[in-house]
Amino acid sequence: MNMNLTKRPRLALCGIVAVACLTASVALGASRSQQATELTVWDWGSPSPASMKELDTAFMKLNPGITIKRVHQPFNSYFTLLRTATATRKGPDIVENYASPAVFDYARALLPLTSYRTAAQKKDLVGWNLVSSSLSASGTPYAMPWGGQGIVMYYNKRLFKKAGLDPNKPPKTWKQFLAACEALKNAGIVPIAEGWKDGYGAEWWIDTLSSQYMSPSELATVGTKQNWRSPAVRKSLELLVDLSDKGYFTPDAEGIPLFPDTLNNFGAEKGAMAIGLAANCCNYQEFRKAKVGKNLGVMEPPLVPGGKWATQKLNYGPGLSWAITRWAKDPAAAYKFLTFLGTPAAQKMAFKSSTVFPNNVKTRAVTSDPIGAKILAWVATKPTYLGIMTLMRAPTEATLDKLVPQIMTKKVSIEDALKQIQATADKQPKIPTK
Amino acid sequence: MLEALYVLPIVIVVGVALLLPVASVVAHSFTDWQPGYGSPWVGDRNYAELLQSDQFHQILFNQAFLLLGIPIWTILPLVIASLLHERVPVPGVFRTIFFFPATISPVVIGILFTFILAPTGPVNASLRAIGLGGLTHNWLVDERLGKPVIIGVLAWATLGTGVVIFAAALSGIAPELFEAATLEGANWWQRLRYITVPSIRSVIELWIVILLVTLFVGVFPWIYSLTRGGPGYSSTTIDFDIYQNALTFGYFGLAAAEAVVLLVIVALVVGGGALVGRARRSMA
Repeated sequence: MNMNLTKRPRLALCGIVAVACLTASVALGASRSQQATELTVWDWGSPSPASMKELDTAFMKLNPGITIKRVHQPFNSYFTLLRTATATRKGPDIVENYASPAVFDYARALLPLTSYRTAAQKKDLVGWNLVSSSLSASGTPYAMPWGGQGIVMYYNKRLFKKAGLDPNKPPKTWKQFLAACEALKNAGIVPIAEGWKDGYGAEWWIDTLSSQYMSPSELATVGTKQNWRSPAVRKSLELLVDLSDKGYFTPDAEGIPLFPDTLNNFGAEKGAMAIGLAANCCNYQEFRKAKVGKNLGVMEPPLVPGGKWATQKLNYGPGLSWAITRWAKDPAAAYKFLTFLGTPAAQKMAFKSSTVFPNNVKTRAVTSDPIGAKILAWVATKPTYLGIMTLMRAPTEATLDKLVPQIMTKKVSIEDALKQIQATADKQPKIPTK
Repeated sequence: MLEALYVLPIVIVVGVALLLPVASVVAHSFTDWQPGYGSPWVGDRNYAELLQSDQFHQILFNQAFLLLGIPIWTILPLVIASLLHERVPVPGVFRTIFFFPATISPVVIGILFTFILAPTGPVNASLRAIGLGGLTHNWLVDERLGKPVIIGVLAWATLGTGVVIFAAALSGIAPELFEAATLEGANWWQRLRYITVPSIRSVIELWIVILLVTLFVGVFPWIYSLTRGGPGYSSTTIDFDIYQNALTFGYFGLAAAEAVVLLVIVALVVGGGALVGRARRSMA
């Protein structure tokens, strides 16, 4: 009995202490969770994961209360996953996309950035028009444009020399281009490393070739009025089929994807020329690491026969964009991250680590690589343009990519293919006007 | 009344897990379905679009073409199971070997065959090595070959399961039947035709039904990993196109209509087959 009397206060005391500890830990946890914001960021692995990790770390160092949880999704299924997230309204806080109207395919999931964007950001970052309503810089921004991207051609100086061509004078006109291809072919060299299976190679060709046949007004409105049945697009495909007929592309190219096989083939000197990108991926920095390495040269895509341009322009514009989802836990923190990515310091880091060309006008990118320096000089001095492919929507791209191998093997006529692509383009939800 | 209560749980499970989703898909097939957002009613527009679509006609043709695989996927494992049953010592070892592909994920099989059948892959390399370079093809990108290649890959992938199922059925036949037939001078083919097939007819029918259903609703992983439905739509199946319409193009309403069409086709094929089987049995 006595023992029971002494036991009860002890038990009560233990109980009080336990409840107090529990309450304290809950309160502490709550205060911690109030302080720490975790932002989940989706990308498709380009720019390189190492580069993005470096940026994330730098941001978290500047903002100790925000944690970046980076998720590198596979590129092949990235947009499918994004559509699933859009449908379920769950998933990342921040998503990567192109700096193009493709952003509007997921517009319902994206937070308009009007109230977050500062006047300085609007002024300093190039490309707001491509991700804003009505494709106008004064429209509502659905993402923040980031980085610059262009389409260029790379060539192998050693193979050019082997074929009796001047390695320092790559072809500029179509006639010169055909002559170079013929010389390479006669020397037993595949003139152009190419693969049509996934469609991306054809996209880049179409962009650089069809734009040269477009009138200035057609080219200026190619984002809002996607006319895939325009003679310009048809002619670009005819040129490609003609090159294929002449045997200038990698044999059986219709069975080879661009990523990574074609690019690997060019890197391994299994082709003398390849169409590629200026920044981020499949660019000079990556080819430098391959066998082609020190023999690498860069050239502009040749001027097409009967085109509207006297001199070559540069296919270049904002490359990527970052958007905040409507279900983001802390949009202000998310925009803080976007703001960081847009700063000159972050853009310099991204250029250094992953050759993301800056789109902040206050950022001056410098490289010791002569190819990179040459492209940067083109960016600074040449008139630029964006073609029909760069400004197409995701379903249009999917339809085009499916048809490319058939077009190149003539299983589907160019006319029929363009009719199908146009039908898909016409079916797209309109670009938002607000 | 009390008896009805006993079946209530299963009615609820079937209703919630099966009928509700189906009803939801049917309802959404009449809308411009945007999951999570407003989905305006569009009447029969999605169905009309499917009916008028050249691509959908091509897809139906592809699906019909793949039906040609059913005899191959049935006869091949049946013959192998029969040979294992009668002629091979330690048939269990061979059954295990044949069953091995069934343990591999279809996606892995698809990726494996993508390498094997690539333009510079081992098949073409072997053909070139033995002087048959003229027979090399772009197996997965040639419109004429895409569907036959899929039939071939599926024959390899389904072989093991078929062999195991038929072997199990064969073990239920009295050995005396085979012994008596052999004594009477029946050869292997006659034993297969007059003893094996009639004895396990119901298992063969079941296997065909499984294949039919798989063909319509379960070939997605192979198509996705082998051809992505291409080139163009030349190897696209209905299930792959449902995925494509919904998650690549964002046409969820159209995908729902396609799912309903698929449901009707499967119901007609399987239901029709069951009716034919029942009629044949009642005649016998």
